Amino acid sequence: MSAWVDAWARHQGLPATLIHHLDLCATELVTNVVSHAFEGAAAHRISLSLGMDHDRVMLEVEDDGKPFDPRAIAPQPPRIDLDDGPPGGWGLAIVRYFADELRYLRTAGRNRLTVVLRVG
Amino acid sequence: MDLEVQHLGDGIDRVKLAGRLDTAGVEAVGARLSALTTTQAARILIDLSQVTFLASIGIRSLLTGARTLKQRGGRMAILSPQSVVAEVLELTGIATLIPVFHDLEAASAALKAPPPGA
Repeated sequence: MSAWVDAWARHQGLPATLIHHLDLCATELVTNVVSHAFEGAAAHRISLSLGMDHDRVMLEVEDDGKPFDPRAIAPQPPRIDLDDGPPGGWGLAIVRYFADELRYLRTAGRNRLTVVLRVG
Repeated sequence: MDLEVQHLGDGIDRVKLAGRLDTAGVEAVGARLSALTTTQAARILIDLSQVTFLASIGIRSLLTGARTLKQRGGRMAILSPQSVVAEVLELTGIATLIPVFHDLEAASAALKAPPPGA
């Protein structure tokens, strides 16, 4: 997946830093879906699409898992001590940090999350 | 993802990782990293200079290791992350939990020093 994101982004002539941020967002969102959206052993589908809209990159992640709006998840409080909180849960923090906008839609039994990253 | 251990003396091990610390990366080196951090009172310097990508699963692996070390009286520090990796360490606040150094001498000195409150 990262190779696909990288190839597309290079073809668009996007800067290396933005390509890295895009790769991070895609990686974290797919990891999140695989970890949380599916129950049981049935086969599921995650679709990713990438597009440009003027100076904005749109990364869309669609899955047929249970409804999940990441915008509704409260950000983790800052950790002061090494022993504070669970060791994981950083994926959404990373996406929130790099995304200029997060859009969520539940439609026809699917989650559709769009991450918008502004170029420049 | 590759992992190489170098004994620096004074009980410090430099663990040099190379590649992408994502799901596949953690699957490749997680067990060895975990074994190193469960050593009694180990002092581990995680060299990230050759790591090009740090995902949340990699952060979890580092944080779990650092906690285990602390519980056993050991310590962890991070050495020379590339700018894109340093950015992730900063934004998640990990850099305040596991000290980050860009200089081997300073990192070794910090690992040798007694832990705060000792």
